[in-house]
Amino acid sequence: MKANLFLIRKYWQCHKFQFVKIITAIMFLTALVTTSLLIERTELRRELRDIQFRNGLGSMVYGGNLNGGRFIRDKLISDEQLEILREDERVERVGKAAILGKIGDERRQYTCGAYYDENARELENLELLAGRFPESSGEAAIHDYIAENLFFEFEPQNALGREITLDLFDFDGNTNKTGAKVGELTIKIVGVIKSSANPGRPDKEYYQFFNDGGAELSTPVVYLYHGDVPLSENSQTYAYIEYAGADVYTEEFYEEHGAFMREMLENGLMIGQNMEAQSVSSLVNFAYQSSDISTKIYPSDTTTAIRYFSLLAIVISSIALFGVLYPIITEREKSLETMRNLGASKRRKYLILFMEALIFLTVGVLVGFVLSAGVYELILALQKSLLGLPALRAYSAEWGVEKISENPFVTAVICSAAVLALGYLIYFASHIKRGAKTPKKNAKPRSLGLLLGRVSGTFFANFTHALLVAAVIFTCTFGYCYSTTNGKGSSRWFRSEEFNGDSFFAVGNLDLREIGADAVIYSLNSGAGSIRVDRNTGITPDEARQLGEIPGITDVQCFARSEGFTLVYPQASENIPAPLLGTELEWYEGAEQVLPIFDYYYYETVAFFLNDAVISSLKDYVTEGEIGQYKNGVAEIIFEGKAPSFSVGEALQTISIDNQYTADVDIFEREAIVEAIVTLPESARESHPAMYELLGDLDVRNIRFAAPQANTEFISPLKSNYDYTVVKYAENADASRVFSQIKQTVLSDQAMIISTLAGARKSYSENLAAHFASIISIIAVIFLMMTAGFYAIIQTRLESAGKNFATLRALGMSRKAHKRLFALHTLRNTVFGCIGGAALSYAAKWLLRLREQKCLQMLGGGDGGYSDLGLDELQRAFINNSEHYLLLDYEMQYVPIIGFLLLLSGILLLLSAAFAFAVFSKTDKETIMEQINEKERSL
Amino acid sequence: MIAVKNLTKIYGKDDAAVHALSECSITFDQGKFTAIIGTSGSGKSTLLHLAAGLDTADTGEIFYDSTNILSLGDVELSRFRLKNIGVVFQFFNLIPELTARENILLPLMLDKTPVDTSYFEMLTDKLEISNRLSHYPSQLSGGQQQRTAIARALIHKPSILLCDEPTGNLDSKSGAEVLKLLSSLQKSLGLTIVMVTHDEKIAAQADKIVRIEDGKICG
Repeated sequence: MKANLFLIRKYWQCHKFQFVKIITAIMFLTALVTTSLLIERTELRRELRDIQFRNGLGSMVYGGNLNGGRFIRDKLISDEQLEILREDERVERVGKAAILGKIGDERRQYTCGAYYDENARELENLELLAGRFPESSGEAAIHDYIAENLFFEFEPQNALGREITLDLFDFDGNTNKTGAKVGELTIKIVGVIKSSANPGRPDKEYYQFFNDGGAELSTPVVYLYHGDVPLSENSQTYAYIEYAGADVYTEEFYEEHGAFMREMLENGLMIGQNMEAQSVSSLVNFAYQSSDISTKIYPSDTTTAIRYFSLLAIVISSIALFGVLYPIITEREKSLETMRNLGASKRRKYLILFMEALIFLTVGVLVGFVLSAGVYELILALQKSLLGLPALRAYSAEWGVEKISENPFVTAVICSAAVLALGYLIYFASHIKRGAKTPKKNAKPRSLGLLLGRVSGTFFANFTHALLVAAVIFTCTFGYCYSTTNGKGSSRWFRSEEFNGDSFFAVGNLDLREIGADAVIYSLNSGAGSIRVDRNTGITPDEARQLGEIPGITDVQCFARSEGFTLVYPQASENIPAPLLGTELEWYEGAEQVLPIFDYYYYETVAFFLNDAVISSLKDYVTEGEIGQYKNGVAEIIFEGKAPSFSVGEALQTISIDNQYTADVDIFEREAIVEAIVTLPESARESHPAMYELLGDLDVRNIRFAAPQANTEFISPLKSNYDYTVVKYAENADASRVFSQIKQTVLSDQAMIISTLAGARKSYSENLAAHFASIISIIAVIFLMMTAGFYAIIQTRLESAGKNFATLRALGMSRKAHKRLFALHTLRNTVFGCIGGAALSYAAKWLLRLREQKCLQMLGGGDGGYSDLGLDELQRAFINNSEHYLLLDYEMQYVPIIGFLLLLSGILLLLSAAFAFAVFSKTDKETIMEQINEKERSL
Repeated sequence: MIAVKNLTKIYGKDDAAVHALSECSITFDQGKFTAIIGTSGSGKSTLLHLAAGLDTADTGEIFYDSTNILSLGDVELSRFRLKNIGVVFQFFNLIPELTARENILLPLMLDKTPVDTSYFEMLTDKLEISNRLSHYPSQLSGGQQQRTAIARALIHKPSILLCDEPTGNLDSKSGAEVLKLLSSLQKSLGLTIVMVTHDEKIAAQADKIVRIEDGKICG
């Protein structure tokens, strides 16, 4: 053994570079396997967490609520109960938090509370934009939008250090409403938290009017120092729990979780009121969407993509390792053969090879682990700092031991060992075959091209080079197909509701992109046009005028919609317009003060009042009469192809009733004159998208009126503000400056929201980046691996060809011709690789098509795909499972890939040529001669 | 005629510098068989490699008649070598992926010169490898490999043959055969042969013996 080790040491001391190369190859493979598995597990944990949040469980919050606004207020988490949770081995982490009450003023309040430990804060996944969390009495961290509301401050940093005294309100004893004022609280802002960092939390807490209905209670948005949160009987405490179950939703996990929740129920830790076994079950169903369980068994597309790419990347790095290993073993075997000639046994030779392989593996794997841990931590840190993703570490020491079969490090060792063993096996297998080559008698010499083709590196090195290119082509094509549906460029990843972009650009029921607005200003409670609001929210006419005066703003369109306009017809009337017949009748308590209720029908209509800019646009579409003739005039809005319900000049009897804010009912009776009929053609959807969409926002009522703002008292007596304003900037306007001026103009009552196209785009791209952060990370790692692999393979080729090239040079080949030849062969290998990769891709498409046809035959369907088959859940689940089992996505068969393949092949050809040049430019004539001399000396 | 003037070659730098050749001057007569003899590391192979244009000298000149090959660019030098010089190595340096026939014809292919079939047959007959032409180097004996290498060195009819210990890797019988062949070829083809060896007996068969020690010509 000692002698063997001595021989090994001496040999590799003389071949340090080769040793480093082989260690580097194993290190890369190990690092890639480990890093990708760690990223995959982190992504799984994030997804699990997101699903939990989305389904209202948060991190499984007990004794409190994050659940769709339902607030369970009759339970406090006691220390004993918390201890039970802590000791339960199924609970990975538990943290305690409390809601103290609300702080604010009579106009708005914010839920305040505190985390009692670090776990709770980490489990809720909050992200600080500036500053820190409170560490001593009087300090507070607030959400960013509160900073905007309280201080008109949009830069988080600028809110730090400010002090403010607010009223402190208790919770109401019986309901979710805010209770009585119990004192004042002075807080110093030490941190600003990013809203929306936690996907399960509502972005913003609705501000409340005192005389309003139930206050929706959420988890705190103002975080105090925990010592400043005296718990009263009305305070709420709750626990954040991270369940230490599987990382994916399976039937088993579902059952285990149900059992766990029942047990917790028995211990008095409840999720809902009057919880019984049945309701626990329904809650679990709610969380896991049991009807949709088939889609939850498997990881999401993101995680699956990471898995696919990792697998292909491992294949690529394995090929690279083979490429490096092969010539090194060839050299080594020559040396061992000399030993054999000196009397060493065959056993000894193989023992030395085995010991060397073990040394390679041990050193390579250890270095690979260090590298992967570093890269993984770096990726986590970058994702956290740049994208605000929760740094859910994929492993812990305990987990690594308990779940050894899932341990990425163990997998990496097995994978590296297998690749190394396979490399040796392939080497020996190819050498056994080599002896069988039989010369052909009087065979004609091959052409110079063919001869030179044989001398540019060994066949294995060239083959490995081509194989590597083929693997890259297949991997990239697969990735392209995976992210493309039907070749239309609509990515699979973007297909989900969350990332199709609509939610980021949506303002109420409108889309910022479609209405061509640079900014939209709307009242928080206006529902941005989707809900009628009678309150006088929104910007005032004065503010609207000021907006129009801001330099850089070219167009300000203001809309307000109200239901303060009710048509009244005597029951005996024959003039009731047809569209009103059959619609729901409105009947108000107290209406009899104006008109005998049983003698009249009351029909509610949609009524708009608009600023001059919109009225001006509307005038283009007046088909009858004229807008602005009468003080009490209204225009009926109809759409192309519809007949008006009223005639111009017709007097309408209306009443407006307000019973929203006060106990007293105010009834207004008005007469409105139909002064114009406006017919909106389909073309107006293009020319005036915002106006068309907002006025065309149909609900059950088929009749709508519009009037200039000056006539507001006839259509909405209680409302004079615009709750929806569309702003357009000049082309050369300084967007940030204009935005800043808009804020100063319209945020005076602190109840407005400004959505900008630029902001939506930014938010969309940020969220998109966060969503694909792991995939991007893994692709970056793969790209590095691929680069290293290419370099190693080309260098291996050059080394294996070194002596042949030197001989050719000695025979008279010029250096230039030599370079040209090597570059040519590099391109040749790349071309073969591209053809091979394309063939693989098309073979995969063909196989997938066959499989789909088989699926369709089994289901008795036609050729029209799955969508028209009327499949039930089980059948869909079957197809879904098949797709995942085969580790390929069925969409690959639909995607036209020839263009992509050509593009990719072109890039790879250029890349290969560049690599060949880079590697070759280092090896000059002297070096080649030195190589020859060294080889000869060593023999 | 080959005239080497003030040739110096230093490997390495500073303390690790090795003077392989120091101010070395010598003339190799046309049509003669010259043996360069010296101990291992004396610089004889370096001298041969420089003379063949396989390596670059630090200073000095190497004239083939009136052409100083050290002043030639890579393309010109390669072309010159291809036309005028044949090289035989101690370890044959046959390309393992090519058959013996392909190895022999390689210089002609590189020069895009047609094969003189009668010359090819004469050469291979004389070297006794006619029945081994379809074999790969790994299927040939050492002597056959070296004879193939000699055929390759002569196939383009060079006027000068440079041999770096051509028998160094052969048994005595094969070595003697190769020497006999070289001598015979030199006479029949009028070749200028420069051969590096460390064996006095082999050197004794040459027309002229040049001794080299520590990178300097001694006689």
